[in-house]
Amino acid sequence: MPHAKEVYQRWFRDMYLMRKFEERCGQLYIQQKFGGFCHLYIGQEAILAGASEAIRPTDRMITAYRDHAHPLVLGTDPKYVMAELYGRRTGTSKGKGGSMHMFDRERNLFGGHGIVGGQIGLGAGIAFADKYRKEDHVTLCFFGDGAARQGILHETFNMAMTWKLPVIFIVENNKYAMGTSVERTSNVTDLELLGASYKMPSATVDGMSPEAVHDAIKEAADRGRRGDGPTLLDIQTYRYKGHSMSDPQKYRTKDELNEYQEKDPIEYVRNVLVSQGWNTAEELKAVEKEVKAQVEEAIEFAEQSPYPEAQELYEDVYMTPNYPYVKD
Amino acid sequence: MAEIVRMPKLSDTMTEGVVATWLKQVGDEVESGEILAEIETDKATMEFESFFDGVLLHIGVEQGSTAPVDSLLCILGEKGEDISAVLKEAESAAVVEEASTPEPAPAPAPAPAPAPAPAPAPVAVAAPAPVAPTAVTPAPAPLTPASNGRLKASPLARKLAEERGLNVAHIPGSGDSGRVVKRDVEAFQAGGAGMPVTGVERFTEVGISQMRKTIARRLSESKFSAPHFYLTVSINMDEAMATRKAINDGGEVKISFNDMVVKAAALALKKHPVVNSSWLGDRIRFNEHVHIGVAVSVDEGLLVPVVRHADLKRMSQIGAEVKDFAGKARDKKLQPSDWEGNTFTISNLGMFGIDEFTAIINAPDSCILAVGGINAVPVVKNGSVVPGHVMKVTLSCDHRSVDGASGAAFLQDFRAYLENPVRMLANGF
Repeated sequence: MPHAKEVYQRWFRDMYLMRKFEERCGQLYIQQKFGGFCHLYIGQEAILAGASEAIRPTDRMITAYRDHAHPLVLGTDPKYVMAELYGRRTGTSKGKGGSMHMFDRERNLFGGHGIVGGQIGLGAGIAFADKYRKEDHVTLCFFGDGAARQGILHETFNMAMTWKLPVIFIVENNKYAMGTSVERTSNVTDLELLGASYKMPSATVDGMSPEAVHDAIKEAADRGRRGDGPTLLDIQTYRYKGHSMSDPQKYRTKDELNEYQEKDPIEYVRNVLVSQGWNTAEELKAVEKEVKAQVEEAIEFAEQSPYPEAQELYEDVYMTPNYPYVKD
Repeated sequence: MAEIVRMPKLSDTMTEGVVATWLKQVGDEVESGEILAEIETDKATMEFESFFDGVLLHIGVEQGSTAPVDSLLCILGEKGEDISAVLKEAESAAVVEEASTPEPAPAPAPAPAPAPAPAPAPVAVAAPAPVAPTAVTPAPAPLTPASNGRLKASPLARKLAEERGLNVAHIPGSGDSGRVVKRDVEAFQAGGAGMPVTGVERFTEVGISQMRKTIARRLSESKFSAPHFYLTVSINMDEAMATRKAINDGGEVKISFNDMVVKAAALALKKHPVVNSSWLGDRIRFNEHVHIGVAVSVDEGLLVPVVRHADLKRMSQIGAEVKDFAGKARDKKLQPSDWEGNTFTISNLGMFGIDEFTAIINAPDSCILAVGGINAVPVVKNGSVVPGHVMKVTLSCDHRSVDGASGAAFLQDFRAYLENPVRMLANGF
């Protein structure tokens, strides 16, 4: 196998955590435990598993609003993520961000962002700052196949190539921009080609395979660190659930969903672990049990955490202390 | 341990949901992740997965019914588990909720006829009353230049107006934002240069009540799934009029023509079970009892209370019952049991001066009888034209269960009873 036993074991635990955490989020949402928006990562776990293995802890991540799983894979305690969903003060954004705004300064997660495609420019900006400061960090900038059609992508690509910024543009291509398929969005359905106008190195990657994602991101990260600039990766994945909670998913067939579920990355890694004799099925069941308990603990923590005080509305808004336009 | 599954909030703006389809029935095993039901939200119909493993023990919201978010949808648990405590708890919670609802929701009536009897715990609280009417008045097209003094007209319209000696400012525009275009100049001149007639468009929009929703759903279902055909017959009412007069003059009881119609239909139905039937999808039910639904109009729609065993009742009894039902319907005191179980329905618009009409079948019946008024018309009797009184009735039949000949045979008997009311005597007035 291309990776050590420990890597597959971590992948199993992390992906199972992302899956269970999100399943519970979906249930809690429809039981009105928390409100706002809610976009689940279920089905796309291999991308973050592979990516997290390919980068250093000092590298940066920024993504859109399907962002619950990113902090989880970076090691943020699930209870803080859940508390953010619940709008509690103990959340990753002190309860003021909610589902679409997960941040973790310590782990260099620069947030979930609600403006479609907005983080493409921000991601390049983070990479620019690192280059300017002569740091050797790389920024992983995630966005969806829908956001890939935003104008900001082109301006950002142009600047990123001109300045050779250490950024990896990662399309989490789950085939549908909300309910609109990639085929209906443009005559250029091969998203890798979007880099071509800027001669940006690019590749199409199997997003159901953590190994393939790892290899592609490793190569791109090395390129960025060498000073050779950005990379565009079209990572082909699939979300098993709707775009958001209110998506009846009439635009796709159950057969299509089943096709991807047969390539489920969690089941794949489970098979590797068992067939290599690294773990027994029972041991993996025990891991599942632990993870489930961890998610339940996170829910309990969130439910018991306090809401932010009204005064906190004014905090963390402006960098400048005593900003003159803010009155008590 | 039994788990209560509540109406999920499947969209950010959802306040109530309709159970479009139950994919599991009471007694079915359900696994976590399996789809329990399809729920219609304000946005779409969504599949709703179970979070729990267990046996479906109780359904709180029947298929087709609406319930607010968080109300009891169903209960899952161990097979044979006693859920009475859980139900009771859920019920008392629902009562609190109901008590806090501002208006004592008017009969959450499945209107014309009933949905299947709801399960014991009616947690489905009626939706809030429809919103007050709102009048919307779109701005009329400006006759004169816009308030900012700028005159909106196309160059061609200006030129045409000038050539024809018209002041373009007096011509009403039909273009964007009231811009005057060529066709306006031409139309203005064709209209004879006078001031054009201007009217204000107004309308009122009112939210749909639960009753209207039910009427809309049930009648659409009937009209679009039951292939209707119609049989109309004219009935000479001279004898019926004479009989009625004689009875009423007797002073002991009073009967109406409607009572005679119901009675005649009931007796004829007894002889024609095909017409007194229900199409049930994979089979046809021929009813041996005769329960006649009588359409009653109320302010916000109509209700169809049922006269049970109409064939066995005296006309005066039928009359008293219908009168009682009509009063209860207006006072919103009808109970679901009052409008359930019809095997045939009669809709009578005779008192409104309607000559004849066609009615939509009231499911689950196979037929409905639409009754017009009694009109004085010339009739041919023994080869000569004489004054007579004729009533026209139209039978709407569901062709899946009733054929033309069967419907016609029923109407023949029905007419015979009314044209010779003494024949009904055997069953008592």
